[in-house]
Amino acid sequence: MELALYGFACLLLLSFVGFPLGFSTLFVGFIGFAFTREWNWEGAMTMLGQQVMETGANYSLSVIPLFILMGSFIHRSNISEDLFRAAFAFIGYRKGGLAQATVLACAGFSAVSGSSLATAATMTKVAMPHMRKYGYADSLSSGVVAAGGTLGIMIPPSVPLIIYGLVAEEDIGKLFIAGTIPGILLVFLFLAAVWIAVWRKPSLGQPGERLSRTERYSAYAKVWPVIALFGLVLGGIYVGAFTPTEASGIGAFGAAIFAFVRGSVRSWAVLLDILIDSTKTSAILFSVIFGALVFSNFINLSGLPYDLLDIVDAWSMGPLGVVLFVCLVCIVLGMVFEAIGLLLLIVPVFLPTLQLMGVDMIWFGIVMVVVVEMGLITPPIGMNVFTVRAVMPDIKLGDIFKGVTAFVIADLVALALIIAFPVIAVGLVGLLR
Amino acid sequence: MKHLFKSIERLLAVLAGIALFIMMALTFVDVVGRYGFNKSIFGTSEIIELLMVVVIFAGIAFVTVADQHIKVDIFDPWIKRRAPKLQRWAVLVFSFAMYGFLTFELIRHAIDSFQSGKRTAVLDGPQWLLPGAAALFSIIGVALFLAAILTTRGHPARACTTEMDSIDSRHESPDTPKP
Repeated sequence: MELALYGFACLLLLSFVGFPLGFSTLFVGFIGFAFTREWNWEGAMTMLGQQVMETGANYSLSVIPLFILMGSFIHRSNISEDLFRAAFAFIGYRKGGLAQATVLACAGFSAVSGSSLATAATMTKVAMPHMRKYGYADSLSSGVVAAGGTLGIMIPPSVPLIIYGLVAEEDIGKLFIAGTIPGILLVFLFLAAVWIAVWRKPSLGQPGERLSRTERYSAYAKVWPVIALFGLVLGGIYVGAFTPTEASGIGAFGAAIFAFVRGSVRSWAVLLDILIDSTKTSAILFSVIFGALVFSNFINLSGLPYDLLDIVDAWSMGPLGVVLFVCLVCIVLGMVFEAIGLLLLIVPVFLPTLQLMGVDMIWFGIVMVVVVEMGLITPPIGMNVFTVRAVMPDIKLGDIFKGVTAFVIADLVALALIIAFPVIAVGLVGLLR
Repeated sequence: MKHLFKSIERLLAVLAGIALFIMMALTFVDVVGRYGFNKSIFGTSEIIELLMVVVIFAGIAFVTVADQHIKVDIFDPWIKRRAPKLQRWAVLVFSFAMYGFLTFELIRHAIDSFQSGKRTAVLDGPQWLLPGAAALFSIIGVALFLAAILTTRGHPARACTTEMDSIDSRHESPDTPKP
């Protein structure tokens, strides 16, 4: 156990000095693996080569670059304004309605684009001017955009869920199904957070104008292709018509057609730029995944899972106690680490122990994703908060953090509900398959 | 010489992008063929595995050259105030050593695979092609990285041609706003 802890400490040290996370995990995992095999370098090198090749040339993992490509096409289609307009037509006329419309638009945009930071940046530009026009407090409006961007991490197709599935060796389709209800729950809790904030202080959010029926339908009509594509991709997985890999190919192709039809891809240069962008992002993710898998092999070999199990037995913690402990560790580290890095660091450490204890790993994956989602808006390093601030430099950082507090509480409520009632996450999996 | 390196780096990026496009089209056509015409493309999964190697390993090559890997930069301001050069060079040397080591292992893997003479299950192609391609892209990546470090005196990202600020969105990374 000490060995694994030393390894983890080395990894934190290297990361904090500024070494790339992927190379740091690869280094510590490789050295640790060789050490546990009594300095068997040959074995460690063979493990490294096999692990990297099996992951980098894996048909099932083509789901990652293809969903990333789908998101890039949607992102370039400038759909954000239309999504906000549709959400505004639906709910904007209520008190706090613009902020609630922003939550819905953020949920839709982040789900299809797959990026919480891009959502925060884009929706800040789109929604903030409208909310300011209606006299919304900056704390509420900036908070809602920063927090709204995180919703896509849970709503499928979600790259963090795919990565969890890869590390935990769980079915990605099942994880997507499991993420649906928690994703919707989070949207409702965020809507409720806005409602409570405005109910407590009505001056925070004035109602917007009510659109005519024609205007409403016209607003809805502009976003239906994206919703249809989203429905096709997820529906195909849910009914078992496509594997997640096939669904990602269909989603990317549909998004490409959508971008062409909207005139967002007018030249080969733009198309190539989108493709290269997606390739870069995929490569960055895979370099971290390689490192995490090598590190995971070291953790397994170090005996940490069994040692942790002994501690859990001695302290009579039970599976729930361990899950709560993991959540606490993640919440603390989430203040410093970015979402995917955190997922890849923590999951390999605790996964084997939880598996030995018989914890449902699909449910645990959903719990983990809620926790890392929270890390994007908690101080001191809340990347979404920084993104909003970068786009709107005239808003104080303190105001944005104040604004996201209600949504952090909403995240905690969602976490508590999912832990207390695992059926929220795993119920649909059992029903549909 | 600089132009040559930039051209190679651009070529890697374009190649990886085209591979991704083919991967998307192939997956789509395969599913449509299966459902619409009751015919699948023979060996799709093996072709996609090869395309994955191009996307990922060529991608890692130009991402490394551009110094765009995910990093934790919470202590960056503090360290950079005290030892900016030391930190920058330590990170570069470490990254170069690790990338070089990974490349060495991929070359070994490719040679082992070549010597075994094994063939793929469906298309009956040589199995060494996958590790061979991964090793080739990594060798090019290591060479480009070294050249970029030396020609820019420790600021490899300056040697990059691809628009680095456009990689904004898909991964949740602090320094490259998941995308």
